Amino acid sequence: MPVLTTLLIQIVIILATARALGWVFRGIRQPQVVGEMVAGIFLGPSLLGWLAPGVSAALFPSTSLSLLNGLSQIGLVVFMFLVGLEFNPRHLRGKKRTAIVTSHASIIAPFLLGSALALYLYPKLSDDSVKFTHFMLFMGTAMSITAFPVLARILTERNLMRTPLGTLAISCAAVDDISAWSILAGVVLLVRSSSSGLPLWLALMLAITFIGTMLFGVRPLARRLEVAYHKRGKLTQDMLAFIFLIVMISAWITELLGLHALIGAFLAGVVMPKGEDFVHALLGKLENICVVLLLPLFFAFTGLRTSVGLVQGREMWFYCLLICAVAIVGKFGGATLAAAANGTPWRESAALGVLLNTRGLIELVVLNIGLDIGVISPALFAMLVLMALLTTFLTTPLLVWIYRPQAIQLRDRVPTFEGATAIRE
Amino acid sequence: MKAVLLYLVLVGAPVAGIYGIVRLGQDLKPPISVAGAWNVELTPRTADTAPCRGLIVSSKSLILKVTQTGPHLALTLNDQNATRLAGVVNLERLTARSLEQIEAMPVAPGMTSPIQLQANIDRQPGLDRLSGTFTFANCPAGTELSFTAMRQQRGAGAGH
Repeated sequence: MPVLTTLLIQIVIILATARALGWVFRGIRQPQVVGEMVAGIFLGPSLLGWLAPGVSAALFPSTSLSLLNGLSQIGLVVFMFLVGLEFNPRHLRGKKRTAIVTSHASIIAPFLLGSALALYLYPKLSDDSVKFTHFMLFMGTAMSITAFPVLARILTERNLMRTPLGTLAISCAAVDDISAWSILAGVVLLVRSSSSGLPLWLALMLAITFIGTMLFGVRPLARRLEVAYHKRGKLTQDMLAFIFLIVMISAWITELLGLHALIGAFLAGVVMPKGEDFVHALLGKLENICVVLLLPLFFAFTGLRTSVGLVQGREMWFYCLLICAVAIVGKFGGATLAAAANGTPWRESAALGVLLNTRGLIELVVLNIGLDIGVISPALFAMLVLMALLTTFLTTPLLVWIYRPQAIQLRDRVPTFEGATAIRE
Repeated sequence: MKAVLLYLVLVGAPVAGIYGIVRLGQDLKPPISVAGAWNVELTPRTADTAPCRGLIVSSKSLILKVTQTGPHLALTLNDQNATRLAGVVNLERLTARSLEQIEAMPVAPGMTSPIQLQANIDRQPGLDRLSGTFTFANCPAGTELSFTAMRQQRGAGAGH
């Protein structure tokens, strides 16, 4: 079958399945993204490949996957740019201290537990091609991720965005985002420098120089875009092309430096102007194509790499359960305790813990990076994907249980930023 | 001041714990890595005459693909479902047996697995080699097929 025909058929099947399952999951009050993540798993070897291996091989022949992967990676680059675009230091206004302490504690607690778990799992789920330090750092990072976009979506759907809990959660998620990506960048740099022969100090210096250039060189330049936007009253195609150039060059350079292309795309988003109108206009141009068309391809590609069948036997399922338990206890427990220690009432603290425990597609992005750089095995990848699905799935019911809607009504509403919650998932 | 103290307790203490874990982990010994694709060469003396050669060799080149999770291995020969094997690596010894029954060749009485693989791993810098045998449970004669295999070069940092 011609390559283009295969790709078009794949896209049709992926979009239809993602939409259908998204609709089903919305019916049980889950965010659309949970359905799309599950759709990806269904199309992979875990279900379709298991039930109908012939159909699976015909629909997704291994020779065709590089094209699908390429498209999904472009989608991810744009998505990570949007995540960075929505990072706004104003989210921390008036909450900086609480947000930083709570957020860092909610990262470090699961990181510590994930690292301790790595001591147990390293001899059982890894091999000597992976250094313990790399494995441990990656496990810690995978445990400490929060999905800012899913969290924002849940807060909006639950009508919590303008409550003190909502503003604290979104502030913490913003700090989480920037911290987790910084840690991941460090881990990727460490792993790649050890295999590329580039000394770590040199790789680090180059990375810092690039980040400095983006923050102090590109950001002022990007501010002119906002000025031009206000002058013209719209985002022109030239402006969009210029923005795409920044994103792609940044992604390309970070890939060259041994970081990851997605980290460059995120950084490009971070240095963009943060004016509400500008951010909304840019989101309006990019978001739908990215979310509706390209992200489901990423979910499908992730699903094609996820073989739940590799999690075989009691022993493997025990490891899987252990990973889920450690992820939940670390993130939920760390965030809850830190928020309570900061003076937040226990119920709100627990609700915050539940919200920050949402891992969603950001976790999938991180896991795919881990699989790409060879730090985790396919079986561990499958276990961590299941953990990401479980923690995301649990968020809404747990939040409703802990933080009943009638209890909050519209009390304590505070003015908040808009735009950070543009509906992505 | 309270925030700084809180930060030190909630963040500083775990960071110290992580440092301790890094130190502890250095002594751990994971299994040898055998993941990846291996180019298999059958020993000439037995390759052409072994009656069961056709069970695993459908083309001139024979690729053994190994997916590894700790000591647990999933192996396929030339990506064929009929020759999927599951195995383990223990120190420098690899053993595996096939998961599927090969329909054309009935399994011998008392044998649950038609193909078994045993190999020793010889690791040299830049050159990993397997040497061992395929054993066919239900072959009329010459039930062993010797082979050597060389690991294909892997991408940077790509384990498993």
